[in-house]
Amino acid sequence: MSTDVGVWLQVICTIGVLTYLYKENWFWRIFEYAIVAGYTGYSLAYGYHNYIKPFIGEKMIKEGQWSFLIPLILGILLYARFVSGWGWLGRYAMAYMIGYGAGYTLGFDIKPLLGQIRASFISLTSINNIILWLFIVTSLAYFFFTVSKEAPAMKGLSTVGKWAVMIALGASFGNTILYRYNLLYPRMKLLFNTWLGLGG
Amino acid sequence: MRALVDLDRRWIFLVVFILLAIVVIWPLNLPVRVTPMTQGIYNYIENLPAGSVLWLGLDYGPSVAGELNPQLTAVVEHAFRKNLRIITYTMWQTQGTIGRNIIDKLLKEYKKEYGTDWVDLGFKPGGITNLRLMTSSLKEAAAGVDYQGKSLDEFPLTREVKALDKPYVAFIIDFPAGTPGAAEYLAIVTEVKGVPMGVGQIQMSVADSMQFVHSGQYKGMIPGLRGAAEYEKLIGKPGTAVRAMDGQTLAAGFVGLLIVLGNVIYFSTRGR
Repeated sequence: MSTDVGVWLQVICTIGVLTYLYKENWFWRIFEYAIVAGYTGYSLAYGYHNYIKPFIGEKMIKEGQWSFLIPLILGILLYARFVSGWGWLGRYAMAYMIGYGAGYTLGFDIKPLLGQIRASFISLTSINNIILWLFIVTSLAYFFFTVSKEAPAMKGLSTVGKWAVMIALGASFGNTILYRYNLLYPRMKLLFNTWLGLGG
Repeated sequence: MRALVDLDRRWIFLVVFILLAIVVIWPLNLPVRVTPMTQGIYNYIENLPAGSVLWLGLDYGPSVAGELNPQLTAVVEHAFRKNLRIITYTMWQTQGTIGRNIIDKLLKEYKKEYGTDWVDLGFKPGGITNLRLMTSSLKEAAAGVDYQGKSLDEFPLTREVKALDKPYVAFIIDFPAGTPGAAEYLAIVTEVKGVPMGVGQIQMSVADSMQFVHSGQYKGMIPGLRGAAEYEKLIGKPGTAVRAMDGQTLAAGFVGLLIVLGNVIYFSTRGR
């Protein structure tokens, strides 16, 4: 069995979190709060050392790059909502962020989609390509809402499309299960290999 | 049948726990088959000339470290063997020292030097805005410093690499746990600047990324812990991920059995 204090701490946290699987309890809640508190403190310290210090402290104040004042003011304005009667000021910062987000989406998000469209022009020479082409067309038909699903051609296409979407969702579900396992495995290694010294 | 319908789900948790405990203590060493997705990344790195710069986006935190750390370890090991140089950067503040500790260990093992063979830009705030700035000026986007606050001019590697762009960077691999991550690298860097990329994906996002592998927008993908096991096999150094495959196979088999059983119960009790 390990004598490392760090390992013991990890084990206590792991067991604390796993007790939730039995039922919600005070022991589990200690670690839930600890994670939230730890993350908040960590974010504050990290934000200071990686943003305030190099950009505001060094670049703006020491080197005189006063253009950093603009994002600083916009950032401070976001907190105006906590002051009664001054909340509207925060909308300027929010409007800037939303405007940037919209511009980004229009400017950049289209490009990967064009690559996807290009990749759907395939020669129907293999069974894989035929299935892919069929599922692209029928999935699009399923989400084509301007023509009634009861129309003769649409009924069959959208039904196949529905199955195609279901298969894709099934694949995602399967991957999610494996992902959960991948999260559990390191904890099991910690408990049995590192802490108890069994196997490995 | 009634007992199975009313089965407390905690019994299922217990069985999964026991199954995993058994294989963690007594590994079965099940074989691992390499998929073309993982092979794609391996081949791309394998064919890069020595001295090329590999950009690694470490966009994940501790919650998925169990899955992405083995991927990162295998990729960095491969890169150092091929004498590639590495730049690391993260848009996730929760990345902390996770990736750095791994690369630091391998740096010593392969007798490489920080500043010449690897520079860690660390976390820089700004997400996609900053990533975009990286494509025009590394120095500006990184505030001129690496993770330690040391000037990028001090290091031979970052004196040479001016931006996340051709011809400075030969290949990008992003290890994302979500957004911002690989999708942003694809939209901002690969599609605009033409720098080829691959992705080391968490298992949950594998299905979403497959389309980009199929279209050739990603040169390859390392899919979850399974992908890490494949990469470990490719570099001839089976490690944590290969051992984890025993449990993953058993757990997936057990869940598959439950799904079949659930359907049988559903159809046999329907209408009663």
